[in-house]
Amino acid sequence: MTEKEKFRNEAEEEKTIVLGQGFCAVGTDANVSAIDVKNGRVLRVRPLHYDWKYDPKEFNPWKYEARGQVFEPTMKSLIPPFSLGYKKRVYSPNRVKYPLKRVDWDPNGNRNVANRGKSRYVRISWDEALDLIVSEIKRVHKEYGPYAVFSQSDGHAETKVVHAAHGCHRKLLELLGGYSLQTRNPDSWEGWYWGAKHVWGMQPVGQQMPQNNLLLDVAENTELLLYWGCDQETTPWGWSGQQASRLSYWYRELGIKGIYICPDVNYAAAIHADKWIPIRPNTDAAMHLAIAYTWITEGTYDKKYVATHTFGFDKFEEYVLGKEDRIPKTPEWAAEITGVPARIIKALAAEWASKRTSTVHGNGGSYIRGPYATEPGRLEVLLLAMQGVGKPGANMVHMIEWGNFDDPDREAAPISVVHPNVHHIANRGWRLPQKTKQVIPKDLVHEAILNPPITWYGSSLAFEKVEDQFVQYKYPADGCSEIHMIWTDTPSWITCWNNGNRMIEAFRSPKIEFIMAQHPWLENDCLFADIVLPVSTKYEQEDIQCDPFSGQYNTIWPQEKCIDPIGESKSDYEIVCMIAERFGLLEEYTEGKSVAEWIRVGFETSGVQDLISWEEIKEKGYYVIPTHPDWKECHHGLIDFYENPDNHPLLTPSGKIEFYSQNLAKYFPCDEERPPVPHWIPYGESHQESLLHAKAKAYPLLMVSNHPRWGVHSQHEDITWLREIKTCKVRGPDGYQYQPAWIHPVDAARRGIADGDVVKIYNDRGAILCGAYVTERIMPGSVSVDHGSKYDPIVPGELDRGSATDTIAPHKITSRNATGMATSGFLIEVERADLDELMRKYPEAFHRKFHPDAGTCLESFVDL
Amino acid sequence: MKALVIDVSKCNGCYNCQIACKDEHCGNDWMPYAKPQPDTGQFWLKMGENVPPFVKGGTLIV
Repeated sequence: MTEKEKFRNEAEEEKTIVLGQGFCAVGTDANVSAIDVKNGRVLRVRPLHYDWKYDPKEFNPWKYEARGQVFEPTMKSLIPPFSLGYKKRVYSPNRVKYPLKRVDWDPNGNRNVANRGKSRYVRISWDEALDLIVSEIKRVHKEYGPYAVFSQSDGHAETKVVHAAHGCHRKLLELLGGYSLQTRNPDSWEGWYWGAKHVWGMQPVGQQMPQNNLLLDVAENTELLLYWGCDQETTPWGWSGQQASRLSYWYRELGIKGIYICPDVNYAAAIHADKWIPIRPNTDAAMHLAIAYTWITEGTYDKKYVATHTFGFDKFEEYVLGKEDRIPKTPEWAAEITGVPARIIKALAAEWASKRTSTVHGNGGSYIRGPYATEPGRLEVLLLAMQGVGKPGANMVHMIEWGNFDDPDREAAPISVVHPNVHHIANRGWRLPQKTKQVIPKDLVHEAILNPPITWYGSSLAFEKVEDQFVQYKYPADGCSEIHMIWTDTPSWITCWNNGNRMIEAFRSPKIEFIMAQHPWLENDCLFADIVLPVSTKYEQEDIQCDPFSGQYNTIWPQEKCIDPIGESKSDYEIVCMIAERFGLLEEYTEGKSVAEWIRVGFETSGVQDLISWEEIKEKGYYVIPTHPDWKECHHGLIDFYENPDNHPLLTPSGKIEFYSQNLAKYFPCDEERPPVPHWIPYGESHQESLLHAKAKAYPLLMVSNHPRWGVHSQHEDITWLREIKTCKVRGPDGYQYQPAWIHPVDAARRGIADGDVVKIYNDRGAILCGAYVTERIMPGSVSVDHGSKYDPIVPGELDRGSATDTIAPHKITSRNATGMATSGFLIEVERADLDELMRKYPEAFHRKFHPDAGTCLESFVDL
Repeated sequence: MKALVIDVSKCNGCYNCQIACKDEHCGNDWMPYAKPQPDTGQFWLKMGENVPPFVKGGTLIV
């Protein structure tokens, strides 16, 4: 056989499997891809060509026509780089290959909880791991009752259904008598959820709904787009792929002006901006107020709309004009706060008033995740209202999560004949909010463990109605014990939530007697677990999924296994099945169904079961759901409310947009941190993270911590092909790859920092090391570090080599009664790190092995 | 011989082209057509960052 013939024969063994590579974790997938496998190995990852097995006529291709130009979806999925390079994540040196036990955790003797994050791990057998887990659950139940077991089963991860990355254990814990639940606060929507929701009642998270046909509406009607704290070249990647990029190019071709308002020339601004207005982190509320001031004093707002569609404008006007506090919110006043010259604010106000303007968001970032984020969240909506929000071309437009929350009203692209949903019944893990008797919001877990009892408002679950924000909760709940055991799956609390260092202190509390984690990779919170169980990736599982997020064509597919599980790993569902079996509850837990049967349930309840047979979708590997023939009939955004507010009331007490929130006035009349009319609040009882506060003398810079460009929150940190990109990692002189810290040349020069230097970023909550990226893409006085970097403790809870910004983010919730978190827009100082001194002082941490191109790996923490 | 045709006016800097190349050639031996590519270091996409005029312009306060 010649070499050529041999290659051809091998090529014949290739097989292509359709698989989703979205990384939200909750229910619905995205980034549908084609995975080529051969000889039990992944060869390559490709976009899926929608027309691979179908004639495009079968799925009714759509197109936008506006201003003489045409926009069409591509015939292939627009997957992002971390989906394309995901093979490296599957085969990462960081994979947990077998069950691990912390070497000095002895459940029958000294548990050495203070050594969590310090001590290493050893391999144990599955039998030993399961015996330990079952005996610990029984012990905790006996000593404290079932509510002492705390389920952390949320956050971001691979998106799976039957083998759900989050929450498979919840049903078993229910069968065992109950548990306490970590309720995930709306982490990328904080300002909208806790603020804007009180202005216009938008469910579920306070952003504008509906979104229908708004992508077309912009093309047809909008003259000015304000990308306010928006980076649609970054945040949508894990959910919606890269359609937002194509649309942004098209909008420019149509002549729609795009202004980017953010402290950094983010990745979208770098290629799409007509103008960048750099604004100091978390000062947007001041600029909003100055724009309102300009419109009010110049009479350039829609007075008729305000009279017919809104409530309480007079009180807002009083505050803006300074009648309440003797401070008129002039552009000159805002210029001092925001760093934006008054003439720019005036020009922006004039342009907004004279052009049909929409604001654009991609969630996250400094804008909506800072201290008092309720205020910019609310004020933007009020400005939109002053220019008649809902009229053609004037809306709040999403560039991310089209179709999220299983809601076709959230689809901004043409809807399909069916909005698919494969998880609402078949999902074996994460389920729609089901509060348990005792809950702790995710952003209060450290406080609950370290300083009980605590009280707060709102369960913080994303789907809750606004009324829940007026319900006071407490921990411990009546009849419940404090928590003493944590069962966590694919966690990344410390790198993605507020004040990770304090959470580390909580993890090391003697009250927490046992922590067990399930994770495909040994990273972040896993380093504080007593037992770590190896989880297979979705490449190693059969499942069912759909992609209604792409802004192209909605798809659904039964997913075959690409490769065998790595090492001894098992899916989260399989792991819980093994534990259920030891409790004699396997039949109840699985409801008597096999994995294959649950996958079939997913299909039969998906909504497409009458459009294609199971046999045909199995044979073809996927199905493209036809575009709805009447998609153009879907009303654009808020046009119904615009045209007739009385017949289409909003979910506020008045049914209108409330400049003065009647609910906040009723339930929190004395709350100066979230008053009924939104205010500029630089600092207060909860936070002092402002340049206007005395604390800025010690920490004179403001941190911008965006959602990461090269990963989804803490995911994808070990993809070597990404880490060699300069904006992904900066290699220090020690060979270690640090997260880049964007710092302006002026700030760098003042501190003797050169591009590529290892720097220490610190405040009173701790310090992280980063790699200096000296650039004019960040405004002076601010430093930008993407959050989510892989934690690598030098001193756990104090100093991190892995550049995890959230470890030093503010501790307290958004404001007194708003139970969100603040993870951006906080005070820091930066200095050049003395690596030699650090190495001398912390030899153990600096001698820890790491992969030169993938960072910390299994060997870093496990005695192999 | 393979070639990637890239419309640089549409480049958004996602590096998908370079990553697709690596995905095909790192760890995959396509001899006699192509030897495996080293996992890192073959960084052929030379994308520079030019600071656009609006950054150096009047809106930036130093």
